[in-house]
Amino acid sequence: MKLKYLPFKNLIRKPFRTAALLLIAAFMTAAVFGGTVAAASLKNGLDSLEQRLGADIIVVPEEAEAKADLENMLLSGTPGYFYMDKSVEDKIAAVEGVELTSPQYFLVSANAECCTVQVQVIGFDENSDFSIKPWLKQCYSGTLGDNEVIVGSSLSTRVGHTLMLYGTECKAVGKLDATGTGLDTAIYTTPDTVRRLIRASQEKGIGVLAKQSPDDVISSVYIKVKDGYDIADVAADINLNIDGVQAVRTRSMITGTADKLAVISGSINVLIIAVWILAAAIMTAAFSVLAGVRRREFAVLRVVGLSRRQLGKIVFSESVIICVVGGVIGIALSAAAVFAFGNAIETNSGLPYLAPSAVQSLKYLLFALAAVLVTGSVSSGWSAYRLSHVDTGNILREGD
Amino acid sequence: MQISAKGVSKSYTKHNRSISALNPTDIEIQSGKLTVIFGRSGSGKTTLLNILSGLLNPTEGSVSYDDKDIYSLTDSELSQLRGREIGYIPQGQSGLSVLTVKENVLLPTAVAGKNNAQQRADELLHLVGLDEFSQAYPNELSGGELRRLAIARALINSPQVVFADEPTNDLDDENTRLVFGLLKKAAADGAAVVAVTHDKAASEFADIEYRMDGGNLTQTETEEQ
Repeated sequence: MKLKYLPFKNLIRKPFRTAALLLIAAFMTAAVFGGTVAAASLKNGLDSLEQRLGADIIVVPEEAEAKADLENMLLSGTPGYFYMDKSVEDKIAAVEGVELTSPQYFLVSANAECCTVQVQVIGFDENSDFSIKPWLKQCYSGTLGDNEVIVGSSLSTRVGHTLMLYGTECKAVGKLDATGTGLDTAIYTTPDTVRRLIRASQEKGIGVLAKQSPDDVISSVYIKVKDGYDIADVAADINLNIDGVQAVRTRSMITGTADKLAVISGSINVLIIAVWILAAAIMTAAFSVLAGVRRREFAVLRVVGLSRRQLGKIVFSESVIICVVGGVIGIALSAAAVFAFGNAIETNSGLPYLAPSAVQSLKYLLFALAAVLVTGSVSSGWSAYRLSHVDTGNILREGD
Repeated sequence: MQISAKGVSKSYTKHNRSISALNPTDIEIQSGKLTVIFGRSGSGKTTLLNILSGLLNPTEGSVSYDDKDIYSLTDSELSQLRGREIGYIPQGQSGLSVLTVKENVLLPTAVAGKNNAQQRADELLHLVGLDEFSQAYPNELSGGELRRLAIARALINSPQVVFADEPTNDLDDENTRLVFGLLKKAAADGAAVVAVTHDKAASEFADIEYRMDGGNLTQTETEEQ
């Protein structure tokens, strides 16, 4: 019989009491950890999107649906395409305040036999590009050749494998890191390859272009504004002076998402705090009731020579065991839910969702454990303190 | 060990009224003797016992063990004294439900940091007739067996002082005689034993008798008489 084993015996031999306390601790930790990770994932997704877009202004055709298509493509990965005359790029380059321009070409592969998968194809000009190349370089350092593509992280295609697009074999030469955005479901290639695929689609009878030649069109123009110029002014100039296009500030496109995300993150934070307060109140009440139930047990321990400090250590040890075990259970359950359903959250919310890194996750894990440990220790410690300062003799006389 | 209480009293405040549970009392406890304090329920005898054993701060007065005032000790020092020198048998069920009978008996040795008391525990369990229940849990024992468990636990560290609060409450005659016999044996082995009870049967075993009535203590008999 060793005193250090007493907390374990108290917990093991009172299984229902222990299970109830474990449940409270697990519930609290799950809420704190799961909520924090979910909120962080949404924020990571938005940061990643902002970083990946890399342009101040994006110009798309004037059609009302073009902007919506672009947003859907970037945020939720819904494939889309639209075209405008390529001469637009030169006109834009001539607008005062425009430092760099780079065209992009969009195409959607068909959901048909000629294509392995229906996917968004994005062609970018390697010579002028400033928005895709920087993060593409992280996975592929060469120059893309004909019919070579780089695939988004969500696609199952591996590097070295080929994709059939409109009957054309395209070789995957690189795979991007996850961004948590619609960009993860796209493939990236050269303008020539996109044009070749557009022609191939026309040969298959799936015409994406009605009248124009693929050589004469582009889908969008990414713009970098010179230092010292107001981005809004440059966008307004483009809208005013160039017919048939709409210039969209990248930030304004993200602002809608950021606002939505702020509301969701705020709701998650409120939920975390509410659950925390609720769990802390339940835990305090549970420890307080338990301390009342265990008054006589504690009095007997005092009778056999336990000091207040030793009694407090036993109660503290029990609460630490409960909080750590319950916390680990809660973290495991919420991690399984949050990480496993990350894709579902992204799809259903239409928001970028990028799970935190291992280091970030570890920080949230430690934070959640610390939260439950502090709450459990304070509530159990308070109960033990109050009880140990009642004269043992008075407790023993109760019911006398 | 010389135990002496001087002018100890205890009063409580209830509904803004001060209630005296124990009037100023002097008493000296002798080693090797079974001192029995008789009294009706609510007469103040348990209050005196708890004050003597260091479990209840007196409102006034002092309690000395070998001339040292125990209420001037720190909680840690007083707890250590209780663990090593005092055996206390509380009224009613006092076995810890999560421990086996033997673990309950060994509990004071664990608190005192003694690790080699297995044999002593077995001897005591045999002495109180609980050897066959050593691996049982308190909820499997009868009232008399629980009281004997408390006695074995109180004696495990071979204390110099043993306090027993109504040790035979609700017990049949056979168990009553057995319990007082064990307390008498502890006194015969050299401990100062103090029992408070309303059970007249204790008179047969007592070396010194007191009566507590309305918070006032009076000595009624000694073995010499």
